[in-house]
Amino acid sequence: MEYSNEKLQNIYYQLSLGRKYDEKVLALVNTGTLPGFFHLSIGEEAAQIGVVDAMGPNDYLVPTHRFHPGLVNRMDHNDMTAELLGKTTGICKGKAFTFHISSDKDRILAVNGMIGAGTPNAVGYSWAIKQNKEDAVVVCVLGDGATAEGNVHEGMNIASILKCPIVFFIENNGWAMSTPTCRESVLENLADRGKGYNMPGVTVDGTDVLAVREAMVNAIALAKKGQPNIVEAKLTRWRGHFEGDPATYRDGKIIVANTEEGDKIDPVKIFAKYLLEKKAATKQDLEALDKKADQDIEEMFTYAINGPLPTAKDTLDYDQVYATNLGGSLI
Amino acid sequence: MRQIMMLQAIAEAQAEEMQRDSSIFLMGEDVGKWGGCFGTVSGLYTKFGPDRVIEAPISESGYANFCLGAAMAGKRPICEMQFADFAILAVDPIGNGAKQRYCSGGRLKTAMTVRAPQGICPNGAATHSQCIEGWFTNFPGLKIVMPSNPYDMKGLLKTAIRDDDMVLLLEHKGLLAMKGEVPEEEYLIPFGQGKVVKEGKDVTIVAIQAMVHMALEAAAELAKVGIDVEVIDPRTIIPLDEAIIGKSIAKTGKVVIAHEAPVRGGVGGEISAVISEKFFKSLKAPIVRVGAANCPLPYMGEQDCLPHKEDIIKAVKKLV
Repeated sequence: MEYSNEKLQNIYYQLSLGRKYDEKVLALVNTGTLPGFFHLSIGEEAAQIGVVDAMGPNDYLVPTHRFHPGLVNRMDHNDMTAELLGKTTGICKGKAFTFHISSDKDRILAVNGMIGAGTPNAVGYSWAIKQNKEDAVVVCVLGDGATAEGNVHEGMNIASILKCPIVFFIENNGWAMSTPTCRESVLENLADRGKGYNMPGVTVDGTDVLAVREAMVNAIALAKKGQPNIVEAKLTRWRGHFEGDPATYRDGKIIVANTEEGDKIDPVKIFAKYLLEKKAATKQDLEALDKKADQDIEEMFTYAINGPLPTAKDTLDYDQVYATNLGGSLI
Repeated sequence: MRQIMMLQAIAEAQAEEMQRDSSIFLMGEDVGKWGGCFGTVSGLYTKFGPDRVIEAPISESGYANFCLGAAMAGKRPICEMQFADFAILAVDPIGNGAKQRYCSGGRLKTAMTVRAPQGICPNGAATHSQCIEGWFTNFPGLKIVMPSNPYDMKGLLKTAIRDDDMVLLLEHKGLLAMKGEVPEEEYLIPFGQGKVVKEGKDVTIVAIQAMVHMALEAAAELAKVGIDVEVIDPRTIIPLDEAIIGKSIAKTGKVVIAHEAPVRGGVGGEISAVISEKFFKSLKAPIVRVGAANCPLPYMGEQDCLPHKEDIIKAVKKLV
């Protein structure tokens, strides 16, 4: 595929924004002021930006609990960040965190806290938009670990029977919490998970944003023809499962940016090098894009930090628990 | 007035609602040409076709989650569990699905009705005969409806389908062939409104679903020995019509709660707690629960586990 320099620079900006987002979260976590479980995607940006950048404006995304870089490039920054911090100004009023986040206006479908259950949800959603004759697909993101769940297989089976417009994107980062992929499946490529459903699948390098993007463009076109299919991106999880995980199962090994080991698989650096070699951008261009990403991050976190935390009244608002109250005691 | 069977009331309610609103669809196992295992979706496949009546592969969690996804896209699914027992494989889409509204800050809608036939099915044994309402009472966001006769079934099922929340509507297999008066013209029954099935002054029996009929039989026998019981059918477990129960106990001061599910962990415990907390001053005797033994249902000998009319009579006599 041919890209203009402007487009390539925009993809670089998205990668940079994604990286800086989780670096900012990590910095806040390290201050001890953020509650909750944080699953960061540092090192996984190419896979996520490859997905969201391939999607059309009408397409729907089902993210996972580890998808901040993709999300921040797909949804309203303030809605997302305020939600991450549990503020009432968040898209889900602080009820969801990024574990259960959803946004109608940005076509983000609810993340399901039950690993794998989001797959049949996504299939149902894609069937509904097909019934409504919408020119759109659903992109359902899964981790490698989720593909062992029965729900994923039940969902894929129904998707193939009903010819649903859906792409299953497997972000294979090599680890299901502490379990390596070889202990999750005997398959070399998890894209083969769909073979039992006659579903095509491709496996790409998850550190190559353009490779992921192009695989997704093809996959979305196929899904629009009523052929559900799978794209798997292989990459490496840099950090523990969540912040605070000592990662003893891999001898505490954490990959960090700007080291020899990190640089080899750093999708942001790999893409920067590609742009410079291709002369699609100058060093100054990239620095300016990094600076813009820094400013944007600052703005969205300032907005989020300044939002109010929910009061007990906000939390125990039963109109949010039930849509209709026709009498009798609901509580 | 015409009399129809409960299963006809179920099929009719769905057909009328599907005719009225094209966003409603039905999904379940064997709901196609066969018309469902118990005949409760008879005629729907022919009338509405495979896009509105979807035959699901045998994957309860998968297709219930599919329905939940479609609901969040604005559809109004009726998700049929072939046997309520199988809902054990769909506890997540039903129970956690009911939380989607709250998790979105009140934005998402899960206008989904899960229909599930439960209760004793002769010799069905441990996994085809259970009453499951107790499994689901601990999920905020979920509503549970348990009609005991064809009239209530039709009105409550239509309300369930129109409701914007996740509703678990339990049918009792033993009542599906029961005939009752159901008017031709449309009507709805709101949730949270119980019914005094029989007035009386000595003891209140809060009877759930099939036990309503057993309680009425017990009442007839008790009348012969001069004991006048009042029978209350709550009709919906969530929301619960606490007021109708409180009013009855204010009169009788004594209460028996009867359901077919095992006593331990059953909704009778919850109703009992509500009575203790809110109507304690009316009580003149301890609350008595009647239900199944804490024993899995066997292939042969299930009646030894289940509650009977005699158990209700015994419980009432204990109180007077």
